Amino acid sequence: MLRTLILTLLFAISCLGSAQGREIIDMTGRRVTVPDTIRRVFTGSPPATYMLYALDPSLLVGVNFTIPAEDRRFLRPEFTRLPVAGGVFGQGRNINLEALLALKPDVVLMWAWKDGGAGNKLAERLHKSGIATVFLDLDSLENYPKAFTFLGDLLGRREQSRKLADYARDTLRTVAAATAGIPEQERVAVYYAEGTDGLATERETSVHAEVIRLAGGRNVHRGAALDHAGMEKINLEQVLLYNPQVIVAQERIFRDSVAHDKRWQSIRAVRNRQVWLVPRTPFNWFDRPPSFMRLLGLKWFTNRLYPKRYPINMAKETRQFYRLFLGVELGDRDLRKILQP
Amino acid sequence: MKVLPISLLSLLLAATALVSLSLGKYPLAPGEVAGFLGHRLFGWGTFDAERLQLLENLVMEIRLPRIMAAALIGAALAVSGAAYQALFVNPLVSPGILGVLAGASLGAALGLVFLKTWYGVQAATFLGGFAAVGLAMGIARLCRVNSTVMLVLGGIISGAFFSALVAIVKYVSDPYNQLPAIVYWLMGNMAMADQGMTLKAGIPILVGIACLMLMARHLNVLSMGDEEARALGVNVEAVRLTVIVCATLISTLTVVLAGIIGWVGLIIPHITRMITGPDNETLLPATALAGASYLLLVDDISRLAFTFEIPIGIVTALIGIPFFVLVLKNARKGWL
Repeated sequence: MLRTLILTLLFAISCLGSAQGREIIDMTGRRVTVPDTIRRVFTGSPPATYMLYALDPSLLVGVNFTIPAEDRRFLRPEFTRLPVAGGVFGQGRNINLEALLALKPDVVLMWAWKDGGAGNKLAERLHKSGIATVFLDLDSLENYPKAFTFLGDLLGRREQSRKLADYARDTLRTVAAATAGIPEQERVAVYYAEGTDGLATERETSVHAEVIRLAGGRNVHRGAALDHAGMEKINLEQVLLYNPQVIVAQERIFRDSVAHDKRWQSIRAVRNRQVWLVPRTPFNWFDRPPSFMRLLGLKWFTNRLYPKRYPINMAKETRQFYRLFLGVELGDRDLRKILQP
Repeated sequence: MKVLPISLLSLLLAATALVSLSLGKYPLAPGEVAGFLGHRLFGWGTFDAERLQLLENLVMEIRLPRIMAAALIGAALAVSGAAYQALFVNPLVSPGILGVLAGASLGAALGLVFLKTWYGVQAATFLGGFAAVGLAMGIARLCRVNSTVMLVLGGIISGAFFSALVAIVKYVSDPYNQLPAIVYWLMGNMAMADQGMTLKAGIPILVGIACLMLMARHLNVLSMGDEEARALGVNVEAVRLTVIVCATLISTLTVVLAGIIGWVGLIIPHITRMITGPDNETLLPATALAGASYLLLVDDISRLAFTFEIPIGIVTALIGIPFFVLVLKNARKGWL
């Protein structure tokens, strides 16, 4: 009894101590005071949520949207059991501020969009409720090593964060080295087909098409991205003009229908059966959400584009990635299903 | 039936279709398209095999089905709008009045979330449209008042109910995979119209339009009011049911083909009525032709205006509304 009392007292004192907190500088250069030990974290958008998952799922207090049933078995149960609290990522559920406060997060982590709007407003309101908001810069896949290190330092998970950051850095470096010397005329022309009709796409500089650029592919839809949202609708005749060698598709409906859609047959990629469906278990490997899964997506895509320049054993790589980042072991059947969706 | 406006509008439609056929993102000279058509239809001239293959794909597989789909959809929406305006004796009525578009939207949204094949989505869309109109008629019948006002109210309730269900489906759908698909589909999308689909939906649309045109004389009588129509020996209930079934069939098929395209069914009948007068025997065929030409024109803009494609539902509203206001301002004839 006495012991319990003393322990409770000690715990209360330690809590008081942590309430004073420490000042850090977040990835966008803001000064933020956060508690000394952070135990409960809420994240405003899926890419950040997944990073926390890879770091330590027990830190999370909620997720942004309902995880589809078919993806649940590829994730650790402590994550799939979390309540759905919404997010600020421009689609799906909005955050209910009271519900968020009821989850009692020590800090809220947010991906700083370049145009911050909704995120800044939420941060301001959270500040009034005494909760610190820390902004992450995840605008490019190349920021991920830094972001993992930053999170590891912030949350006291340095060992895991070093492994993740090393993996990310290593992936980016080896892919860049393998694709650096490819002459312009040998770069594969890629069309990125989004939407059920395959006629929404991204421009080459868009964050949504980053994997194509990093993998040394030549995105046929040139130019600078028009906006953050992407999914620009284009005309089928335009795709015919582009005549890509590879089509990388996001929707199964499109991948299945394009093979016997006469309108698409004169395109090189369709004629040569080079329409690849992006793996998306448990999170998309390419984009939407643009998460760390793109590191594996980058390996997969580079390997398929340039198998001679970047020869890897995709099955082995996938197993290793799922073990390190998602904490799950893949069986042979799962692996086949993931790699050949 | 006045022959002159109808033949003029037919010419307009033929001209618009031919011009549209030679327009596209893929640069083809109009002369080459004309030459290809001559070759295809009458065997004139010669082409080398590869070029012929490309032209065949561009003109016959890509442009022609889309042009046919646009014309069919424009005609279907305009005719069902005109028929409803006569049936309900109300100029503000559009094809969606009985909730058919909201119902079809729900069907499409459910299909995109749960069925994941195009046939499934299309079947769900079709059933959704009929379900909403069925609900509207059920509500009207439940109130035991046999008037068009009750039917309109039933339609408003049914439409609101199905729109709310669409919002729920959007809310629970996966924000990355399914939500964008639903949103884009509900903005109208002509890009899915391929040859097979256009033919399969086109035949019932033509049958429905023909059926509505056959009802034109009865609609004339009905627009004098139910009592008068009964006195003249018209079976009001039977006429009403036939018109509603035909109009529901063709407007729900437009959603199956190209998502939700608004405004055509309200504006085009009005504009046509100002040209031809209110006699449905002239108005219905004329409005079908005008609607077809209008949607072809709008689709050309949606295809060509920018490097990206603007959803056609947006263009119909943006172009239709100012045009409509102008026409209304200059209107001298009454709507009936």
